[in-house]
This record gives sequence, structure tokens and C-alpha cells, in this order.
Amino acid sequence: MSSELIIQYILSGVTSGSVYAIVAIGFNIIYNTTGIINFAQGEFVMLGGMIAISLVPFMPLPMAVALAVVITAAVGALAQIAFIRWLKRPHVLQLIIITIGLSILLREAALHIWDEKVRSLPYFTGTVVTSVRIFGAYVSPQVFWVLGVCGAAVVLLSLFFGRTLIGQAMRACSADPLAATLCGINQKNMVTLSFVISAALGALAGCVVSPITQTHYECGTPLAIKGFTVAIVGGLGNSTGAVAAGLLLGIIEAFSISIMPMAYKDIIAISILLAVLSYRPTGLFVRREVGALKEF
Amino acid sequence: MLRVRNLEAGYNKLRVLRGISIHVGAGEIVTVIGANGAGKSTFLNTVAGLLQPLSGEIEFDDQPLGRISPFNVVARGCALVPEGRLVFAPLSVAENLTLGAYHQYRRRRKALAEQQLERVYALFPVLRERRSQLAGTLSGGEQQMLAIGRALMAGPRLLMLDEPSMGLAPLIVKSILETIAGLRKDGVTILLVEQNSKAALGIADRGYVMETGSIVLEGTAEELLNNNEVQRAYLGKEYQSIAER
Repeated sequence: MSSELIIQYILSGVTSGSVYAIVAIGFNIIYNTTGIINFAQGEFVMLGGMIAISLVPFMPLPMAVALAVVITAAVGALAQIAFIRWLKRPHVLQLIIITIGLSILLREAALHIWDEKVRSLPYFTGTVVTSVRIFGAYVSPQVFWVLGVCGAAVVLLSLFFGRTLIGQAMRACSADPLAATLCGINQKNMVTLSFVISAALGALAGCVVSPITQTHYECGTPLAIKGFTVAIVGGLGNSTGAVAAGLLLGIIEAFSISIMPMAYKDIIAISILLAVLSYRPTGLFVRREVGALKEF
Repeated sequence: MLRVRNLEAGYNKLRVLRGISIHVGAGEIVTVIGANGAGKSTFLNTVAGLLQPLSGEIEFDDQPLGRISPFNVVARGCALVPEGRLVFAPLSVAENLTLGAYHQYRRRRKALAEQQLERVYALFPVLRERRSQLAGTLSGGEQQMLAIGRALMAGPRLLMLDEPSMGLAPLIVKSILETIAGLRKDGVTILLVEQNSKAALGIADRGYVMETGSIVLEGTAEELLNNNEVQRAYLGKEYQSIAER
């Protein structure tokens, strides 16, 4: 294998890997404040892309993307308020089923609004054929958009959770909801906020990848499966782990194409998920003692 | 300052408190003692708003406290140090303390919160030394100090403590209780719930004895310390040694 080809594979792996990572971080944000997995995370990605595609004929691209993020965040908030917030002491299983129902609901709604046609956003810079030469490999400039946006999102989120009062309050809610309430923190608002942030994050990812991977009403599910794999492999709730696991999965997938037919690419992700779930369910990047303290 | 009348509360259909009446005057240190399962924690949790009372009244500063959301109770000036400390283990000591003053920051009273932080560090110098350490890595005594410090960060006028001595060495219990007693001069009223009756009555002005959800005895700390029933049931003295005096 030539060095150009290796770089080509790595770049394409890093691109899809950073999208997986961002979907996984969406899972983590909600897991961290509520302890549940939001299976509608993939649908937030799809909604973000679809809304931006519908808006782009009427306004400049950056504005369409921003508006799509805001609208998806609002959908996340409404869904949480309508289906979850009012429940008194809901069981974890109950919540998980609700998010699965929500994902079906959003998918069907998208089918009615946008039909089953495959669409995509225009490339942010250049066109389909524009390419940049890097170390002998050719990549679309959109790849840099994906990497840049994902990187910026990870940095901003870690600043938000580490430095701001609201971010600290959200972490406090996940550490001990009761004590957080005693500190005067409105725990329910923090949970709603976690849905808002992860919906916005998903929508942003949906917009930047749309030119490369294209968007249709069912594109959320495979992304959610990959994102979920990455979240599990990286250790649920651990965002640095998610980035590492996302890049790892992306690169493994990219290289698998050189030895296996492309149609088998998804099998890699599922196999890794199954292997990690059976041998190391707390994730590769989490110490066992920490994992033992978690509910699941 | 705090007046509780005929309070009944519990979990679902289980009634734990059966008509509790307690009052705490401004500047007092009042303790509620009783055995495991007497309903002491249920009582404090109900006052703090974590549990809805089934009936009865809770008045704080002549305002009813019964039905307001739990996260608003602390903003009224009534803070609880919960049983088992419940520090935010994965957060640093400084973050724990900052979150204690959450309602102050939300009301843009940053200066007040910073002032309070200096006071807490002066009270527990060890917290300043460990401010960047994760709360979960502190020793039991330090975690208790952090839990008290976090509650004090809210600038409460009434501080309620649920079993601050639990699981701590006697020397540490002594120093923590002395610190609590010293809060009085800063204008903080104390409501202390304890199983360690002797230590609690040692710093309190008055006390109540709770048994299976009811108050069975009340009086000054001295009266309770000398009461035969209290000595037998809660201070670990035998009938014989009481009779010999």
C-alpha cells in the first residue's frame, strides 16, 4: 500500500470518525445528566441536515445552518418537556423506551415532511470536484469543515462543562441530583438543557456531513448505531474517550475497505460493539473501578 | 425562625412523621435526637422541601415553606447538609463550594459569594489547601467539612445538619461540632439532627427526642442530659449506674 493511499484512508477515517465522536458526545451529554441513553440522537443529526437543506434556498448557507441548529435544539427541548420532564421518578427502562418511540416519531414525521428522496447541502467551500492535495492525497475541503467543526465543538463543550456555572451545575446533577437540588439547582431544567445541547450538537454534525454523506429521512439510524458504539467503546459519559474511540472506529472502517467489500463496512462497527460489550462493557478508556460504580 | 406544626410526612403510603411540632428561635442551637429509623432524616428532608408534607405547616421567618419547590428553599435562607454528606465526588473542592452559592451567582451576587468563600476557607483551612482536589478523594472528615462549607456558601440563616458525625473519628466529630457551635456568632441558627446524642446535646441549647415519628420529650440540653430515660435509651447508660448515683 502506497503512503499516499494510507494518508487517503486515514483522512477519510478521521472524517467519519469525528462525526461518530460528535454523535457519541451527544449521547454522553444526556447520559451524564440523566443516566439514560437517548436513542433519538441520530434523528437529531438527520433533522439538522434536513432543516438546513430546506432553508438554504431562502437564505445564505451559514444562516441556514445556524437556524437549523436552533430549530433542532427547540425540537429537543419540546420532546423532553412533552414526554419526559413531567414524569415522576421514571424508571430507566421507561425512559429508554420513550427515546426509542421518539426516534420513530421523528423519523416518520421527516418522511411525511421531506419524502424519501436523498438530498444534500451544497459544499461549504468549492464544489463536489474541488479537492485539496495534502501529503500526496486528495481530499475535499468539506473534510476540513467537518474536522474543524467537530474539534471546535469538543473544545467549547469541555470549556462549558469545566468553566461555566451552568456547566458545573449540570455535572453536579449527574454526580448527585439530590445534593444539586439542595444547592438550589433546578435539576429538571438541567435535564431539559442537556437535551437542548445534544440536539444542537447533533444538528450541527448533520449539517457539516450532509454534503459528503447526504441526508435522507432514515440516515439517523446508522449514525446513531455508530455513535452508540463509539460511546460504549469510549466509556459512556466520557467525552475524551468518545473522541479517541470515534477516530479509532473511523480509521478501522476506512482501512477495512482495502481488504473487504465496502458493503461489509458496518459489520466492523457492530462486531466491535459486540466484542466490547462482552469483554469490557465499561469501555476501553475507562478504569474498571470507575465503571463498576455505574448503573449500566 | 422555624416553626413546624403537626407535620405529617412519609413515602408513598408509608407515614413516617406523625404530627411533629418543633420550633427553633433565631440564634438558637437546637438538636433532634433519636434512634435509627425514628424519622429524623425524613423530618429534615421535609423541611428542606425534598419531600412533600402530607399535612401540617412549616413556617420559616413567618412565611409558609410547605409547598415551594425544593431548589427555592435554599434561596430563602434555609440550607441542609444532607445525611451521608453527598459531596459532588467527580467535581473539585472549589467547584463544590461554588455550586453551594449557585443561587447567589444566579442573582448576580458574585461579591457576596466570594466573601462567603473566604469565610468558609477561614473556617476549614484544609479545604483551601485541597481546593483543586476532587471531592471524592477527600477523607470522610474533610468531605463532611466540604458538605458543611457548601451549605454555608448559600449564606443561610438556618443551617440544618443531618448526622454530621456519622462514620467519623471522635476527635474529628468534636472539632466539627465545635465549628458548628461557633457559627452562632455569625448569626447562623442551627438545627442539628444526631444519633450521637451526647455530642449533640453537648453543644445544643435545647433538644427534642424523636421516637417512631413523634416527639416524645423536649427540654433544655441540660435537662435532657440528666433525664433518666434519655440516659438509658440514648446515652448508653445502664439502669444500675443511674440508680447508683
